[in-house]
Amino acid sequence: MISLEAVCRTYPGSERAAVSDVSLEVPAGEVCVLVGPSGCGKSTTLRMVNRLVEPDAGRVRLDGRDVRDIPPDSLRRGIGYAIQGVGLFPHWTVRENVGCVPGLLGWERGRVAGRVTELLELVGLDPERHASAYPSELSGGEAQRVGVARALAADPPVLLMDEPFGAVDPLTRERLQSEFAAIQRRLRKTVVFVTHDIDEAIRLGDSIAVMRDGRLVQHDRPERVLAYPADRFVLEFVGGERALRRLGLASVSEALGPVLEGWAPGASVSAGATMRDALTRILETGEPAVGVVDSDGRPIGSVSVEAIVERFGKPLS
Amino acid sequence: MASASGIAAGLLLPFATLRASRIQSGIGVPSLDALESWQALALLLLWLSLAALSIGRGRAGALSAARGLVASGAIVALVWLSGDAAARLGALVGGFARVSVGAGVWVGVVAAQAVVLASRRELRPGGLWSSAVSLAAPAGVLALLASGALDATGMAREYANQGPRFWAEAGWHLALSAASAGLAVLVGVPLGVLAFRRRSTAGPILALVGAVQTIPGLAMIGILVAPLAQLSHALPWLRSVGFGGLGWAPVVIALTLYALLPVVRNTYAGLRGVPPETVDAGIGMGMTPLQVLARVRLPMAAPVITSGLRTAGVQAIGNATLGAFAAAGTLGLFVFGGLAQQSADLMMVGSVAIVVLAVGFDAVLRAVQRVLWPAKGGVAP
Repeated sequence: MISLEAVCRTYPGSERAAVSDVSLEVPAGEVCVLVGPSGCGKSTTLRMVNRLVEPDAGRVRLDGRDVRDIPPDSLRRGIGYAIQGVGLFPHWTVRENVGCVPGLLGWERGRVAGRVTELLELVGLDPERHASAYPSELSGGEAQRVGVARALAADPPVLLMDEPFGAVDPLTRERLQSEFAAIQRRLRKTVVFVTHDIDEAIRLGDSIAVMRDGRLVQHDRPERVLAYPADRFVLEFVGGERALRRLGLASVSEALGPVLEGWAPGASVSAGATMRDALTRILETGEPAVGVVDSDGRPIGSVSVEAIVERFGKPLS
Repeated sequence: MASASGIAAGLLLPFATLRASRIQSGIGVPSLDALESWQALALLLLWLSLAALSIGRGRAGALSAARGLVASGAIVALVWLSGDAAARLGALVGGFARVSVGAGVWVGVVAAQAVVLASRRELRPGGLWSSAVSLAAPAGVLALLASGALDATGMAREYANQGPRFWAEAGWHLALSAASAGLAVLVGVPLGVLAFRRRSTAGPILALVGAVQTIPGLAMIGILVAPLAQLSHALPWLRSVGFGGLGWAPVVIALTLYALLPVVRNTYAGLRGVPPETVDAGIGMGMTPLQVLARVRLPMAAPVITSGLRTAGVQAIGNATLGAFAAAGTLGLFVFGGLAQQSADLMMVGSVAIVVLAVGFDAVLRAVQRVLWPAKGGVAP
């Protein structure tokens, strides 16, 4: 668990605090996304966790231990750190980049090599093709995968990710996001993730911390941030499509009705679909409701516009 | 352009200079007298074909390579023809006659070499064609030298007069330069690192190594002679290794001091040029400051530092000529000896050898850079 207790930080030569009085808890195994416009202090907050920035006031604890009591180098070796693609060492191969922290921890060669192969496969790269490549020979998406693999290398319980998917095209970013979500479902790391992209925050966060001018404005589950924005700033930041974005977080199973009579296989969504998917399908077919099928294609129920509207109107816990 | 100057030089400037003996003043021999008519015609055709190739101003690789190779051919032809002319004219006059390479040939060679360099620029660096264009003329001239076709020229006769002494001095020249460049790296890289790590020292360090450059080479050696002589007097064991006010010691020290500037400056600039994100990643993953320096900053700055070494080495090879004034030998002996004896050929023997050494050193280090850092990112050299 990561907890920030009323941390403040003002950079020398600056009148305004970069971070002021931020308190935040990230339970073990969860992803907390720090989101906000540039200069809001989200990166500074993230960098306090591995002591790249020291708070002027307040305290950062890792599993209850004050990080100031841990020597910075060994603290950092125990925390995965991923930044935008430029953070790869250009003079090292992919293998050397990924094996960096294990090397610093003094793992023996064979173990490092095995771990590198394992990780490249985990992030969807072919070890034979990519391990000996230099970062300049990789595409943007590949470089960012390597960045994630490098952060995971020593199997740290905590990951800090500072816009790790920032420098790629939207399509690649979406793929990297869903792959990261899948990896996270398996590994259950405690993650602090910084982005300025609200969609990325909604997609990846177990909780979202919205920051503005160094202050934490709202910290809550994504659907609650969308449903109950704390103030005008959050309302504007989450954007005009916040109802649709909320639907994108809700599963059709929450609005499941009986199996339709005379149901046609084409007009259906899978059980894992979101209400947003269902609404899209409804608009495409022109019917008031679509079927819901299980993984074998058998109908298990239906979703109607009324059911979605009704579910949407219910208060969130 | 190059063809025009080549032809003009051939027509207007003497192709060879004829002296009755090595120290008498010479008379110019025009191309048409020095060469047989078919030779002059062939040379003219070579220049014209080069001109024709240059009209097709395309950047196409094949055309560039052809220009470079024909120009290389012109260089080799000019050198061979002057060897041939020297043999013929020498036999004609007989006795102690000396035939030197004339101004017409030099201008022609320079013009053709300009074409070679321009064409190499248009070719992919390190590629087959680029290497072929770079090596064609040197290989041709070497082959001519080995075949004995140039033995009758004044330079070759001076070289033969010097005998093994030439190679001893050339080796010594290279040794002094290499020792200085090596010392400059040993001292300069740590100084550059210090300037980088302690920003307050950067100003003084860079100013100091810069100030050294303003001292003229001879003055520098002169300044060193007296203190070094006293030092070797106080410590007799120094004298046993040849360390003293004269000899290799003042030369190596002076050359090292000159070579410090490019090494220190490039080390400092290279370290500063490492992107902050890369350094941040290193620190964020738990590298100690020393590990960041050794594993990230220095390796990424290495191409720039090597460029500094290249400059330092070329400079040292040029400045080592001054060794002749400090009783340290070197190829400077032939340059200054030639000047003193008014023997242009002897002077040219030394000068050409120094140029070849400098260009060769530069080419070798460039090749090393290309092999080690084939644009793998890092800081571009």
